[in-house]
Amino acid sequence: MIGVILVTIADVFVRKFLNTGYLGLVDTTQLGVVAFAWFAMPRAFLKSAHVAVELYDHRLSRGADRALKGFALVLSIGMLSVLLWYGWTQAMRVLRYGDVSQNVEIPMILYWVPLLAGTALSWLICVVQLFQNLAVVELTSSDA
Amino acid sequence: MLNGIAIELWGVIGFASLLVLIFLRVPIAIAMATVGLVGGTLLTGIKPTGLTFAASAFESVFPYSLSVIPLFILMGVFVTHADLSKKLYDGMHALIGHWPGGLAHATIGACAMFGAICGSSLATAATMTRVAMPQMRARGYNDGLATGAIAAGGTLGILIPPSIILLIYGILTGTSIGKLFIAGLIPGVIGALFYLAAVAYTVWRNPDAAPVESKAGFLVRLKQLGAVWQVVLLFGLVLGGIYTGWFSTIEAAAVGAFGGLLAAVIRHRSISFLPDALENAAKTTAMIFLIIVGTAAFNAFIERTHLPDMIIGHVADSGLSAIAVLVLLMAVYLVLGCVMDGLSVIFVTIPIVFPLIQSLGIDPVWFGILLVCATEIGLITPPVGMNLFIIKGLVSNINIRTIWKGVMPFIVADICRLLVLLAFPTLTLYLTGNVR
Repeated sequence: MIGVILVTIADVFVRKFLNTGYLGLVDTTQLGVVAFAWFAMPRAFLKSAHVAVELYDHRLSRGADRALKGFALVLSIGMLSVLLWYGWTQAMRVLRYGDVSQNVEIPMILYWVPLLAGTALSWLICVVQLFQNLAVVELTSSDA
Repeated sequence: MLNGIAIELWGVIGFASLLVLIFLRVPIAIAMATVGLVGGTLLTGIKPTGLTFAASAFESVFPYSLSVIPLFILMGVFVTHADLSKKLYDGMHALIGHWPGGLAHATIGACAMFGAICGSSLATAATMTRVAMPQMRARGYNDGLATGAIAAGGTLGILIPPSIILLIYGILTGTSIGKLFIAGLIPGVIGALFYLAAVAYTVWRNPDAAPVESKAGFLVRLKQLGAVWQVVLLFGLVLGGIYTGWFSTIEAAAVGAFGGLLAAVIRHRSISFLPDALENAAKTTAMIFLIIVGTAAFNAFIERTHLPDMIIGHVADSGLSAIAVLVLLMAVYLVLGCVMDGLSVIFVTIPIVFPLIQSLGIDPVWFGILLVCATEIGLITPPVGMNLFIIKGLVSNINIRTIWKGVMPFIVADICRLLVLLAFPTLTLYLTGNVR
């Protein structure tokens, strides 16, 4: 993203003062943003950064808290599985047709790589978190 | 597959299911995507729904126009790392600290200016709590007034441009982001003035809440005010650039992020803050983009059910005027804002509400500002009120009830502002004429 900032600033400067510009600005910015957003996705899942309404947290028992966390993880895994499966199908189609970006002809498959990699890693993290959640539930019930 | 049941009813069931999932603490993005996927599968089958979902997930993040989101987030994160909040607070303190309730006024002023360059209400509230609360406590300010001023002042960041939430509203509805940013300026200033009035009212009712301070000397005031040049420059560059057409919104965001980065480098004299700043920005960006992906799936399902068309039809049949519908919607948003955060409220309701707004011929810029104002009140309204909990978490020995009590005059000020903006659309739209 620092690169995107610098390239955009340079383009503004060159366009305003030298009357020329960088042709690939849009394509490279898009690639930078797509990579930044999708590669950050696993980190957001790992740190539970996705927004949820936590209205009654303080009133929940530990068991109920874990059950709700587990439920959210199951839905996350389901959603990420669909995205991964059909995302792969779409990406292979893009690869087969040899699609390229509009201005400087960057292969479009490069834009799909962050989506697929970010989704796959997020999926893995959710699965691990679900197993950890189940293990804690098991441990708690055996203690009781 | 769904013969026998009106298709619109599936939209209603989908929306109700979404609310249930949200209240079961499923992240908003996952809840929206799940309802969209399950509903879409019931209507058209898994394969077309899955392929459309994957394509829309890609296209939700791909457009060049979306690069403003991480860029403005980066600007806010860098500005927070630049510690400009302390300089702003000292500057405002030197300027108006001698007024009755001067430190609370200074807090509101500093929050407005910091929020303007930071773009996040929560970050503004958290930063200003650390800066302003110790000083107000040290000078004997009432905890309720002090926390109320910080909590309310923190919400100004949501409206004064550049605002992340306005940015997202613009992207979701296709409304000009430049126009939304400029339109937020006057309502933001009105909000700050109403908050100053709320402080004055609180001090008038209870003079002990805020001991009077002596006036700083002219040279001290000049020096402290001079120290806020970075904030003025950054704000002027970003907003002035958009307003004059010198920069597109994306270019302005890049300039703002670069300016914020420079300010942070000047403050730290190194780039040691960069990994932490980038991680924060990456997490927030990922969170917002995943909600956009979820919204795309939910939107596709809701559009297939024709629910928005049904609502538009019912409203048209009811004979309600556009302004009456708007007032009713604001009342609903006020209630929703009490139990959900503003971003979630906007993502969840826009697919259904925005077609109605368009059908009634209501200006989308005006509606966007009203919507953000209404949901902003939720940031300081119990029981969710995120700003209140941030302050509670950062301030030792304070009861949440003290904060709730302290914030009440500011909630009234917010409702007054909403009514003024509803009554006089020109206050919102006056500056937008010159923006492309």
